[in-house]
Amino acid sequence: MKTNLRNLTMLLLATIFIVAGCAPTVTTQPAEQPTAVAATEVPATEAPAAALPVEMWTYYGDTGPAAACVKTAAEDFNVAQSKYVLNIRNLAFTDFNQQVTTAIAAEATPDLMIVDNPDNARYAAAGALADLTDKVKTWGQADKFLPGPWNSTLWEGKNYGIPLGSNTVVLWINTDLAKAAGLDVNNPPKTWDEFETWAGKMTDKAKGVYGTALLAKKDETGTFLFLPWILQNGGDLQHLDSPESIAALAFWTKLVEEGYAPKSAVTDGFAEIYTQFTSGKAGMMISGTWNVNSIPKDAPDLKWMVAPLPYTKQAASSLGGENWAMFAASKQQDGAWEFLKFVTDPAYGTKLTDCMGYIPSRTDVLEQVAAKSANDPTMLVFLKQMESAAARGPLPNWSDASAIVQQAMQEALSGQKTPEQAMQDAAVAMKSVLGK
Amino acid sequence: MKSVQVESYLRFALGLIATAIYLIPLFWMVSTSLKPQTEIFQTPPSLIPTHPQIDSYRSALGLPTNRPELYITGALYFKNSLIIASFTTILTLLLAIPAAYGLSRFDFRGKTGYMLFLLVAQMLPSVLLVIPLFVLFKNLGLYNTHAGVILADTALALPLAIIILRTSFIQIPSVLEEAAWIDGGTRLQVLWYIILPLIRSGLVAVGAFSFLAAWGEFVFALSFLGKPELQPISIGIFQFIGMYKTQWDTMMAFSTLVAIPAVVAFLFLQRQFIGGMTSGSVK
Amino acid sequence: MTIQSVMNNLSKGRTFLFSDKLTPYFYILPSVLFLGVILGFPILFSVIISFQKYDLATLVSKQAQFIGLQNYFAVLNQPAFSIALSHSLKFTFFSIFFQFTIGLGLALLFSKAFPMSNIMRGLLLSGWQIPSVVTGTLFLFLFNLDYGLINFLLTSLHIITEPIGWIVQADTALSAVIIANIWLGIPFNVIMLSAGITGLPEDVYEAATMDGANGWQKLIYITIPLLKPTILAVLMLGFIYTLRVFDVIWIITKGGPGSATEVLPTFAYRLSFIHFNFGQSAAVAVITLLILFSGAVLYLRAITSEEVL
Repeated sequence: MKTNLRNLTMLLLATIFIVAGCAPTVTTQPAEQPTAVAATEVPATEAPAAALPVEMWTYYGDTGPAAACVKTAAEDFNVAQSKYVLNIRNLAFTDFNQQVTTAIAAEATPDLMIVDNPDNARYAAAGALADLTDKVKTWGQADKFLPGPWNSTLWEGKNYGIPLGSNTVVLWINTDLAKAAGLDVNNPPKTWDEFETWAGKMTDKAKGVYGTALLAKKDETGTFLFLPWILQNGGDLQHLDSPESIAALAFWTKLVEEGYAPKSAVTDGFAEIYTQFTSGKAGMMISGTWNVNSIPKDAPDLKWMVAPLPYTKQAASSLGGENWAMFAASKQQDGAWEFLKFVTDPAYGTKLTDCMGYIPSRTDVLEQVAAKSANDPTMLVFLKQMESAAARGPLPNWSDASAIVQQAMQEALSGQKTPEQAMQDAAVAMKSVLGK
Repeated sequence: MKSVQVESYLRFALGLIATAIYLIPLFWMVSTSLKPQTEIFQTPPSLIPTHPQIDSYRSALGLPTNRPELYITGALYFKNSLIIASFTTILTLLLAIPAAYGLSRFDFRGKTGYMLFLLVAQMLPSVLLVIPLFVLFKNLGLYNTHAGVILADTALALPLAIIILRTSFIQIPSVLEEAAWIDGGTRLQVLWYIILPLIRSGLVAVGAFSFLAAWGEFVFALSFLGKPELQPISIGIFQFIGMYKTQWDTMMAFSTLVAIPAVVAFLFLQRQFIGGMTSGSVK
Repeated sequence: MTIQSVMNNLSKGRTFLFSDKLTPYFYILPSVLFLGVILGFPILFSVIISFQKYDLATLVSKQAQFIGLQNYFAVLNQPAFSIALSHSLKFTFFSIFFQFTIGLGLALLFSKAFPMSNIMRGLLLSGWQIPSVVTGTLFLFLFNLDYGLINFLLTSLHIITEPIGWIVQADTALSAVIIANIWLGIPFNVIMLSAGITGLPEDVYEAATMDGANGWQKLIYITIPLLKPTILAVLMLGFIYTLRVFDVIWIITKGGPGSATEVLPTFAYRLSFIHFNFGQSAAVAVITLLILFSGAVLYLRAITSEEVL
């Protein structure tokens, strides 16, 4: 009896020690990891002094091109100079706010982070970010950046970030499914009515195929996707209860009710609609420029095209993209700044943004892209859509406003409220948020 | 007797149905892990994968596949999980045994208060404990150490452990101890050599609870462990959830691999702490 | 601490020279210290900041302003709070009701050996061994309107004619997460109740059989009353654990659609990490604590009246 317990304990302890001893202690990750270990433990054999570590957090998770692309950028930086070494930690999008907030509380923040452009202002306003104004002045490149992304880095006239790149959402169409439904792929839908017709024709209930995938998830991505439709119809955030704004929600609700878009829209995120589109379960999807590099790899047989988002009154899409931001508590501000200058330099050019499927935020780098893509219809659509991409904010309490939009969208799409009721309630809630 | 046999078979049938229903999610996990991504979202769903693939398992194990974007360090995660869970279990038992013993044998001022505290201590979700704990651990120099996570996980498991062990101790009549004292043992000796073996099932139960709680815990692990080489399996799962894309099949393959040893271990262990089954007792 | 008692202690071989009064405190001291620091401190912290204006800027500057009960008023006035509260209570009640009855049924089922019963019971515990992220994702798949296995099985077996919306429909979403939570809670209930059942004395049952009692009567008049301490413990702990469930709900619905599955923990999380209002979030946590606290007091009263020790 008692020996059994003893035996169990011994076995457990033994297992720990054996596994602890045998399993490899350091992972085999691409270049930057061993460099970091070498740098912090043993002075590098080439450089006279040990390279100073600079740490950056992103929310790209570890799957997909975005994570790999920033890691490549870090490697390139580490190779290009020997004074600093950049380490990247790719966190999951869903936990990012929590991790950053916790780190701020415990004063354990990294040196750099990637921040979604509407959130830049909030962290700046809270005093968590380093004021880059002087560095930017010395650098002298501020005027090379596009106003949309650049504005998102400003707070009270000072600089608190550097744009990494922008993206926007466009309409992705499965051309095989479209042709099979008798639609003319040379004439993609330009108005809401045409979009509805296309969605209806491509829906095949028997085969479980939906005309279009829709993202109405209860987080920032939901607002990101839905907000342009309000703008396209002439509505806006300050007037969510105007007939134009309500009509946008009513249109989405109709798509779901008619069965042209899956009811799971309320829980679908980019990952889900991507899978729906690439597996042929959805004829169209509204998603971002970043898919351009993944689709050929994940679904090489899929024939697709992109088109600008359809609209009623004015073209509109969302301005996505991230900014690099430096933490005020960083001890390696110079090193971090070196990286920022490196990665946004025209000489480094489009390497990062191409890899990620983003649009560069600098006009001179953008010109490189435009020149390269004169014959690339996909890129041309992206660039055209960027012209009408609307920024979210800048508003320090953007996430509060966003939550209200998400709530209205979810309530209407899940049948809890009519679009009118949902938007009217949202407008009331929005007053206290925007009124601040 | 015949009616006993009939009853036995009836129980078997009921048990089979119950188990089959209960295992549906697990079945789905394994099934999904073997399906290509296109088949996962097929309508109507396929129970058995029509085009099974094991690329997901190769990917989860860190073997080369044509999915270059994943950085898996499966063995390392497993080792970290094992370290964290094992030490949590040991620490929990070390702290719980004397506490439960004290609560079961003595009456003292503050006893009710302490028991109330034990209950209250379990009431907050981990997510809300993270910030203050992080501040505390950072100041104690425990950030980026397994020790920090172990301490936090132990704190999560300890109240339940004390409560369970207390019930176990109560079931051992004190006359047994008193007889042993008369024979010349100290209270501590008697506790260790005689009483503990008697409550073996409670100890195994507490060990199992604590181990599993630490094994699956991810909020503290995510917050307190910045270095990838320290991270346990519960964090590793998040690797498959990207911002724009998720590797569903690999995620399920990874989870299956993680679940197998646990399920197998439990199949053997559960008899220990449920006290075995008394064949023929009429309950 | 008389000479007499010291002599008594020594003769019984006890190593402590102090009176019996202090001995218990030595036993509980390590755990008290440990929990006091690691859990007591965060609870205290939460209580303190619930009375302060605490947002992201405060987190950076570490200078908090005392604002009395304002956070509480703000929280209680939000319609979202009463929604979350009612959902929490519904969620907890139904989860526990089904977890407990199913758990008890299973524990009774397995109380007598039958072929493969050990393996089956072991498999029934597997719900615990899967990380909550995976469980959440699995149920996300299973509950899907189109390709979810649950709808498929229900329609194939002709239990329903139309697939159910589950998590995408406001009126069924809470039921869906309750089902997921029941699944998660069954191992705990089965283990605790099984352990309790094996501790029951056989002679009482034998006497009852001789008196002609049938199975059902034995269950109601013998098993359940004898199991009362275990049952109370399972219900109390279940109440505490269920009220604080966060992971599963967050992963499946994030509290949505709309607020259809918003419960107190998700509401508190939202206040903290989406609205960055830590003071209000702490107020919600304290309110949750008070609710649970009253439950705990009732429970302790119930069990201390039972035990003779």
